[in-house]
Amino acid sequence: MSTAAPARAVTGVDRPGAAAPRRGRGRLHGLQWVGLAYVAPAVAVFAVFVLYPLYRTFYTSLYDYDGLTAATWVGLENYREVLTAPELREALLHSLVFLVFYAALPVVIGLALAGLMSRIRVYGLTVFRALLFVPQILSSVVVAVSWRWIYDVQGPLNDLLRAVGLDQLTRGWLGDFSTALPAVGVIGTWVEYGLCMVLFLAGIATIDREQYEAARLDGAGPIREFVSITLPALRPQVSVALVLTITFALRNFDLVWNTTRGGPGTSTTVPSVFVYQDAFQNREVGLASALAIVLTVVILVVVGLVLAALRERGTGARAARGGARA
Amino acid sequence: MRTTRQESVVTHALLLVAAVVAVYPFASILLLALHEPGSGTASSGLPDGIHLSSFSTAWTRGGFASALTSSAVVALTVVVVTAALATLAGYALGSMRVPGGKLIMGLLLVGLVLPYEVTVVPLYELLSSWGLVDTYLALILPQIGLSVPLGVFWMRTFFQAVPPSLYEAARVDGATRLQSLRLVLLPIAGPAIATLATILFLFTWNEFLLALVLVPQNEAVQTAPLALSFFSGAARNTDPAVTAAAAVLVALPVLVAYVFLQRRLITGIVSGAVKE
Amino acid sequence: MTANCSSRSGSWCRTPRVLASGAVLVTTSLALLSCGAPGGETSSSGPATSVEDEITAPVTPEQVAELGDVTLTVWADQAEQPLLEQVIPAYQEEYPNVTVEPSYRSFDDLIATVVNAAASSSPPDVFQGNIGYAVDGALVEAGLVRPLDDVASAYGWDEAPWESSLGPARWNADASAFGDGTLYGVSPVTEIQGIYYNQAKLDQLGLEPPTSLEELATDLQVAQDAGEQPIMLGNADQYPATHILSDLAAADGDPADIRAWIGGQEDATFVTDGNREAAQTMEEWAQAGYFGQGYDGVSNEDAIARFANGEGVFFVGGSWNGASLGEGFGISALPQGGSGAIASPWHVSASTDEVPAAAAFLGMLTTQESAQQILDGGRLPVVTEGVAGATELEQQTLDALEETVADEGQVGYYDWTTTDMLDVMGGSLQEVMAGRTGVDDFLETVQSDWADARAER
Repeated sequence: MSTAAPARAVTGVDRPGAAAPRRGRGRLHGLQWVGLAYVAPAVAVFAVFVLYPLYRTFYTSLYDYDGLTAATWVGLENYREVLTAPELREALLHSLVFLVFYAALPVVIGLALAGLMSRIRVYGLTVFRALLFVPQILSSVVVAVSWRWIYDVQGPLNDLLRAVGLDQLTRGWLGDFSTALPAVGVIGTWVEYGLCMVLFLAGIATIDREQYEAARLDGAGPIREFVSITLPALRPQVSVALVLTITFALRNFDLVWNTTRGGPGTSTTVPSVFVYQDAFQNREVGLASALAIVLTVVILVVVGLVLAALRERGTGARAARGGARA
Repeated sequence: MRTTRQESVVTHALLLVAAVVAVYPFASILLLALHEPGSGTASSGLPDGIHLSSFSTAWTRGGFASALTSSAVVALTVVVVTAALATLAGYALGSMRVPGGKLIMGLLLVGLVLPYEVTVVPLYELLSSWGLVDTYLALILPQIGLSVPLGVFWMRTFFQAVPPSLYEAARVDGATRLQSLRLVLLPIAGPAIATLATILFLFTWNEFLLALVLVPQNEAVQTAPLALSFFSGAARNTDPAVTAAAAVLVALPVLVAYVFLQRRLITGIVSGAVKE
Repeated sequence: MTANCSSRSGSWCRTPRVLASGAVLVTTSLALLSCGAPGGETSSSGPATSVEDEITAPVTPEQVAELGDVTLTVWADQAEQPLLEQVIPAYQEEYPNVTVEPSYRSFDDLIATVVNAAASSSPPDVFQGNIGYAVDGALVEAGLVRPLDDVASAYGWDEAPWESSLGPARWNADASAFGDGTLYGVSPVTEIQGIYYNQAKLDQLGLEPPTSLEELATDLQVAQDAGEQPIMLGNADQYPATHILSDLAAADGDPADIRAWIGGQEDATFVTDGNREAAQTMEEWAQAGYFGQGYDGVSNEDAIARFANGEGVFFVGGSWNGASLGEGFGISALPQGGSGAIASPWHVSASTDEVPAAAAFLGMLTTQESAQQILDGGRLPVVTEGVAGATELEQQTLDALEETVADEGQVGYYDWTTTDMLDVMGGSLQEVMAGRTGVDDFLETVQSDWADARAER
């Protein structure tokens, strides 16, 4: 029966398209070619409008191109420049710092919030959910403008600090060399935690209520419930959330550009700022392309590592749960 | 489900704090928009009464009627088409052994993480050679392509989580795959699709760079973020109330769409969608 | 029930494989199609240097009427909207067969898109660019803009006061240096740098408006001692401090040297005593607190708004800031004008079919009437004859401009010299002012970026 295939698919394997281990003998016909027909339309559009331009970008990265006149071949010269420039290494470092703020923190906060909301009957759930999602809704220009005001020397954050007597901490947060990077990071946390919460709530919706009842009858407290039931069930959603937030952290452009432009000095530069500047401002499209390719590779590596780490711990629990439910 | 009252209070308090933090920046923008146009610096003070004139100024100066319509056309098309394509592909990748499935997921992952600022340039050249620059398709087609990875990833996750017994039950009466998908699995997938639709709508609505480069001249097709960008720069601070009003105008449709789509999600939770 | 391929009818089973191989085929052929080097399709023969339809005299309505019913597409910075909203109706009245279609963009958006638009199959007829290599240089090098020397002699732009101002819009034969050569653009708007002061605060402090940077320096200490913020500065966008730096440098140094460096001339260098002293002064002033606290987190727009609201005694910057100031403010010209130059130049597309109409449009932008409208809109016109300021501040600024032009003091902006000089110099100067970097490092950083960019050209 064909149920063998779906059963393998739900063993919580999240590494992209991982081939599940074969059970039984001779399942050489296990490959379901009809699946390609389902996949084809999506992949076709994707291939033409994303993969092809990506290929062209790679192609352009081997040239010195100003976007207008004919290009000159430079081979791997652009890559050499990208990988040795100290300002680009500094930018990559900043991106890694953003990983904490844009990805790790929002996921943690999102889990906490979703966990809280799953346990009790929340009055005004719709309203809360709508409000918590607002940061995702605003365009980055709006986000940047409002947070620039919040961090301003005369802005609400400093007012708050003065009100609680922490005058010595007041400063122009986005203009201070030591606080600009974390300050932008916090904006990222603010933008992302609502998204994580929404994703996790969707996942919690699929958890069987009976499991919680059973656990409670066994005397489990809230934390225990969360750790042993909610968290494992949310593994796929956490993967998605991490992929999205990590990607956002490493390739974020508009937020940084509209708040600090990479300043003060070079304290908040990130690679995508250089990509934009090289492509649209300095007219060095070949260099920008090379940098974009390098950035993509870095993101792929980080995302791959994270997904692999998540996969390791999960394989047993799912099958057991799936079996228990039948 | 017994939970203590204390737990409930604490939870609500924390949620309240989180909600206030989330909303505060938008609230201050909204307050600002309620000032009269030309009222000077971006003060956080309360307006002296509710003036809607900043909104009307922003509406006409920014050409928002056309911009919001364009954004709606593009976003809705992208969401509907992507959701359809992603559900089909996610179903296949999540419940079947598709040949080359691994490769496909890998490629999609690349598309997901790719910083697409630079691919905008070859995209422009491609669309230009097809004569599609400055049309709706110039915005719709690439954004479907860019949304497909997330959509497939998301729907595949969903279909992977569906218990095998359900697949079995759906196929028992000799229904074809498509029928079982349509009649049995899709209804359960409601919440997941609704969430995906919301997120895609949001990303597409706020997309700025693609609109800037691929629709440079046709004002009938230009979308809301472009209209908003018009107010950035010098106008931003000489007339912050109008700029704030413009920002609110751009944000409002998505908020509405979100609230509307999220109701479906709640019904899904309350009715305990996935039952045995 | 199985999805086993072999148990199905042949054609259905083949479909996915066909689809798969079809997809591969399509992708490969697309890839093959693209095998040319990027940009190969744009056959450009370098900068346009000659024109077929020379304009020899100011364009008449009859000449324009010969074009029939035409549309003139115009791309402009949104800052031009007030001016164009007055010029366009007047233009359409004089040349009734022409319909003008203006398209406004924020400055950043304009910079990012105008070159691509000019290179597209339907470029705008008249559009604004930006001085320097990134925009104007690219436009000229790719032959996308029409030389305007003929229009210049027809309309008198090769005489005073235009002649000295339009230098930055001139490019040499291979578009590798600007300042001299063929004229490719014109701008009726110009800018100077000055010291704005809050009259009431000066009176309170018992000070006279400073007429030199030395006087300013002493005034700053007086203001500081009295508890005021001496200079209101918003350096979040990194350029305002570089303008003050260049004002200081131009005051002591030789304008010709500075212009040579900005124009990318051989043997010019940034490592000069003038620049060193200017950078040191910036560092001292910043460390002394003359710029206040947190200036790197405040935008220029916020800074001028605060200054207009009564914060800070002085504001050193460009004349475009004057538009935000009301009563009670004055401006002191800087000796030798400091930096400053024409604003974004207007270009005519090299492939436009409506040359007379375009030339007439530019002509209308450069009349005395337009100059007055420019001044009324809070900016500075190149044409100062017969133009009068409505407020004292406007008149002062106008006088300052005339002084500057007479002194040949407009050197232009430092960040014109390479495409990323604004980021390099701006960022490095922030470090100097914060005491994180030494002045000599700063000079070196700037000079090596300049040399690298020059070598690539």
